[in-house]
Amino acid sequence: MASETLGGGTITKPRAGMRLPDTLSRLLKYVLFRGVALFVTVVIGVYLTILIANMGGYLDTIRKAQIQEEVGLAINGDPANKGLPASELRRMVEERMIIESKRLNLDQPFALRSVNYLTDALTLNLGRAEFISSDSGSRRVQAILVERMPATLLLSAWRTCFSFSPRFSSRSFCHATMGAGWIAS
Amino acid sequence: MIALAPTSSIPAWFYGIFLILFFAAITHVLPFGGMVDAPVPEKMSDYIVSLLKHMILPISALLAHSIFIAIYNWRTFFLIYSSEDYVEMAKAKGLTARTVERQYILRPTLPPIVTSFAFTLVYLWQGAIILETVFAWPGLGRLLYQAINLFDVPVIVGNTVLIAYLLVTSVFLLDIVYALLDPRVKVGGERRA
Repeated sequence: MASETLGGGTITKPRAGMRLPDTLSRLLKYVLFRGVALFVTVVIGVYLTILIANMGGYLDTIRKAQIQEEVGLAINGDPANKGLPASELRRMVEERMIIESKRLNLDQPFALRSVNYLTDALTLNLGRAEFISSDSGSRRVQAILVERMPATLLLSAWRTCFSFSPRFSSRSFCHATMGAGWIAS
Repeated sequence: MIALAPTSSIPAWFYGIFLILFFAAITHVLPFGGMVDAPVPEKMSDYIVSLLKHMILPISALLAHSIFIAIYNWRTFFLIYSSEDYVEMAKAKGLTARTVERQYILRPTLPPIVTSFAFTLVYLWQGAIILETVFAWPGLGRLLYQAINLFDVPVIVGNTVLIAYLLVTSVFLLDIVYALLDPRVKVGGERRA
């Protein structure tokens, strides 16, 4: 390698042919390393969100209680079930609860479900909302998010336009606050 | 302007409540909330006017919250870079004030500007949760608020994943943009013999 002496120290000049592949390989290595690090961060962040949103699995207990209440009210309030013995009503409630639990995958352990949630979330398979629906009536989370996005973008884009325009002209604020000679002082 | 910087510690929705109180409840010049009038105007021009009218208060609240601290931050950055040795050297060389500002002070402030802009873009997607709720603005922030209240886990996770991916992409691109903007940032170390 060619080298030259500058002020007593030696600086190595890489050959022109060697420079690009060396820079590229360093860049690729960096991109790969950084990409993996960021992906791991996303996985941890999303899994934590899943755990917190589900209250560490405690939400299942709340959901089951909600289902029991709703199913109990529906069966006991149905005029067709009037006069049936209490044991028969209990059996019907239990049957419907099992069906509802299976529909919401509550029959699987939370640990297993949380991993499934994570895989779906990372592959952007966002599934269906449980209560919220879009204006068009869809329960698909993607449809709901896409429907709400323009409103947020509109608001935030205007706000960004307004708040960034004085930032780029902050020189004028410096002039205004410190006088015209701020740069010369 | 600088003395007003502490006013940014008040959240935007708090300003929003006062703006609603004054401009909607007392003076009746602007609407309380929502995105357009009800019933929705049929003519496009009326729709746009209605939309703009509804946007005035939420945008004013967001600006009141962020503008003064932004000015303070940028003033600080400019002052830091204006006292660097190479700026003194440029002044000693007799360069014009405009050249010194543009090439010796503005250039090094670009990385913080780009960072701030990139994170503003992420914030732009995320929406303001409480502000949108206060103004009944039908955006992603309000959706998240509703989803949390209803324990609608798929919507909460979906919203979070979207923001996480956007944030990570911004950070990743920022790393590359930094290296392009700031010659001091290098990928890996220079080999020395």
